[in-house]
Amino acid sequence: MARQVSWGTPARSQHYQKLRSIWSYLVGAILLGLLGFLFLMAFQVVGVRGPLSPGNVTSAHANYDTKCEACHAPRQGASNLRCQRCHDTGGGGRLTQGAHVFFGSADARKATSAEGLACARCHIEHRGSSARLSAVDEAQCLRCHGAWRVKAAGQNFRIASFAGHPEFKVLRENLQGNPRMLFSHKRHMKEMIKEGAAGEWDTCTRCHTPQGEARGRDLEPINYDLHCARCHAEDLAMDPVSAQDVKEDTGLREAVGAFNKSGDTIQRLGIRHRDDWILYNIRKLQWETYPQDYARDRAGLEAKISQLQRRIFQAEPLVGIASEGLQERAQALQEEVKRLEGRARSQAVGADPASGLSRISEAVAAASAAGDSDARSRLEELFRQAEELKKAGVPAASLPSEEFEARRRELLSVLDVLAAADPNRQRSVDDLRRRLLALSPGESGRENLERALRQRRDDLARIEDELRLRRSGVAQEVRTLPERLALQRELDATRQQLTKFYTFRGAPPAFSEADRKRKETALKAISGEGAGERCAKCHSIVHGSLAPVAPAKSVMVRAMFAHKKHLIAALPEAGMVQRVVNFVKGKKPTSAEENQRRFRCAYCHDGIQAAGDAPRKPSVPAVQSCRECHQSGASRQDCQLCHRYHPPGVLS
Amino acid sequence: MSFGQALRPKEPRNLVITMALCLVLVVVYLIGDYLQPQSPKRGFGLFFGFLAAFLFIFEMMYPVRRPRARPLKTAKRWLQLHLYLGVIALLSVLMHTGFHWPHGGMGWWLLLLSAWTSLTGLLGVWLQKWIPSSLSDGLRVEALYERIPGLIEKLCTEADTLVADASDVLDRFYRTEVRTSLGKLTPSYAYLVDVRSGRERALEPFRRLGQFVDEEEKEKVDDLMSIYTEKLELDAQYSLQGILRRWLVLHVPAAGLLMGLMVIHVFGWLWY
Repeated sequence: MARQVSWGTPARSQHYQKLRSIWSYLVGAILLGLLGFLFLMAFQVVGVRGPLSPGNVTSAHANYDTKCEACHAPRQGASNLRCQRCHDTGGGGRLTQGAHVFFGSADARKATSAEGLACARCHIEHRGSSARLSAVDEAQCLRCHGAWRVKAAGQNFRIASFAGHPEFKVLRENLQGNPRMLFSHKRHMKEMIKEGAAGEWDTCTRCHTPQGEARGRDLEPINYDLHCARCHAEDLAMDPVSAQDVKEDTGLREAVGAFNKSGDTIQRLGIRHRDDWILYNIRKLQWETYPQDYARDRAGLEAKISQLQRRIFQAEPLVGIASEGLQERAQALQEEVKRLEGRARSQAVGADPASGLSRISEAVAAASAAGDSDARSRLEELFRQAEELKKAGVPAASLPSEEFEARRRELLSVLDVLAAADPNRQRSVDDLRRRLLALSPGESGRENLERALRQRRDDLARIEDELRLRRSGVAQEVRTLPERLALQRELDATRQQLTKFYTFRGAPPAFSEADRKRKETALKAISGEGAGERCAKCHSIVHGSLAPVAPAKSVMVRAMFAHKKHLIAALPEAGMVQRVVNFVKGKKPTSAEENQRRFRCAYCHDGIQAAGDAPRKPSVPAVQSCRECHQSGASRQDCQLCHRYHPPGVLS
Repeated sequence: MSFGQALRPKEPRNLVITMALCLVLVVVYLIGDYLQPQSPKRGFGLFFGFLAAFLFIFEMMYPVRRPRARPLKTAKRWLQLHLYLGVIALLSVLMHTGFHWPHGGMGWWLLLLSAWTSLTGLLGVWLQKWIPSSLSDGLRVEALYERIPGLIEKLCTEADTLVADASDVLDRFYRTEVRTSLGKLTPSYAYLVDVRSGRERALEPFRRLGQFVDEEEKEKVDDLMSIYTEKLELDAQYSLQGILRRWLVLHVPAAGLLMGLMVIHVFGWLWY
């Protein structure tokens, strides 16, 4: 019989067949995996980090590609402090979320309570050397400002996209531009056209020069020497004033000039812009006639100096300070933090302001004991008011901002007097000035203290982190900060202003009413106040105080607008439907419309050519006009196109 | 069993539950993506990272299912969970990355290993369903993998005995055409597609030889052909059972490497 292929197992085994364990395969496989793991780790150990790299850093950070500690703090991730080590060496906190909130809302309280945000949240690293860290996903903006989280950003409008962008604040709230100068566009543009300016474009750009984008500004700032002196450089003469009211020899090198003396009167000839002699005598007469205004202006300068000094101190890069110096700073800060904590604790358990007024009863008792009935009755009246206050509770509403500023000015004057009376208290006065300037409306002393405490803690953390980095050997090149140099220049200029023109200290001598009137007349004669001449022709002057000018400052401070790009861009055409309607109706563009198209400045700044001296409505087009070009599928319309998250620095 | 039948889930209910879970996770991902920018370091991105890590840890416990199968009662349940949670783990990894390509070597390793481990796991599931059915449907011979080399030797001995007193023609045919291939196992991946792959071509010489030998010899040729057929079936058994075992080499080292790198990844995240 032929052999057949058997079904099933061909033959029985002679012995028990031991099967291979599953582990014999698994162990081999696991060992293979382990080998692969060790292989990859070996690469890492010998310095070839590519295979296990989390991704290349951007080319700007290439120096730190293999120095994780330069950016990453243990158990903290990419630390903000380490970003700030290079990008905000002065530690001014400009790049923090708090600064962003303050930039947007100008509300210090809100800024203080803003949640922290890691730099790395928006600027995502390890995405390759060609990645742009500054290109932030729009979703990061919408995280707070998006339609679904309105309250998070303290807004009362929703932004889902550019189509839902609210009207510009300057138009929404009809904020009047206040350049603090008297300037008529109408008059100046007419003059320029007479001079042969070729159309509006040429007329505008003679003063508003579009600048290169590299310098961070859009239009060149208006400068007297560059823009005004061409026409307004003629020598002026002041009205004669009594020689006893002004000082002829001011001792200022720059104040040498010609005088016309006649009897008891003196008249300065050849007055130039920022004439030292004029400015000196304006201050002198202001001190004599309006000492409060003088003291306020002087205190303002003192406070500015004090603030600038602190900023310069802060702007010193920590990397440039020796370790010993840093340790000393850390110690000083630790002590300051302790002091501030003590003050915060005592404020927390202290009496509320209303109950403090009950101490008036002590004064009433003292007045009664002294037998001063007038003082007693006034104090009793005050006591009654205090009682009413206690019953009503302290109003939560803050002072209106004007009143707040007025109180601040008063206090600054008091501090100025205090410093003049006792030079030993200069440091305390400087500190108080800074703290006074740091106060914002609606902010209580405790909040201010907490803010200071947080700032000191941040400073301390920066120093401790710098020391830690030095111990781990992560060096950083020392760079001279242009910001610091700019601050120093500003400080020098402010100091010079103070020492040249604000040399009068303390209370002025008493004058008779006639003398005072004469001095007032002299002040007006020099400055042109009230007559709209000389300084007052352009500057706003009240009681001898010149308001600091802000010419050609951007109206939209929280957004960027590139005039240059828009001026060379093609103007949007009318829509298809509109063009068909116009054709059917036989309608041709009016000359005004044609002009608008031809003169591109007026396309947006309609009516600017007719603007006079008076403060006017902002000449800014509505957001709808932006949408003519910036729409889906056409020009960009993301947040970053116009807005910036970080407030501008000293130089921008 | 057809190719399509092998893809059918053993427990359709588990597949439905897994699909539903995946859908829920995708919805969670989309909501998270809408609420805040996706980032693997925070929010839902981090949640999916954690989910993937925990699922991978569970997956790695699969080899210990037998002694400690009690919590899941049966090894089958272990396998079902191993399979479906593996799919969810891969989806979690993708959602952890935000469906973006990684930028660094580490990211690439993790993503590729996750995908490789999951895909080889699915391949293993298919093999475990496909191979046993094709072996039982297409072959007569059954043998334990470990016994196959022994059985081959026996077949050789039987064939040697058969042709011991055969004619020169048959003897020469046996020595030159059959003996060498009969004595050694010749595994082939072709059996994965067809367990009878190449059989007709291999037996054709026997059929041709049958035309040139007398009746007595023809019976011997038929027997020899039967022996060779059995050998071919053993080859198929050996090949496919070998594949059933060796696919683990594709799956397990990658899984081990993935776990090691995952530990570094988690440590790196915690530390940096």
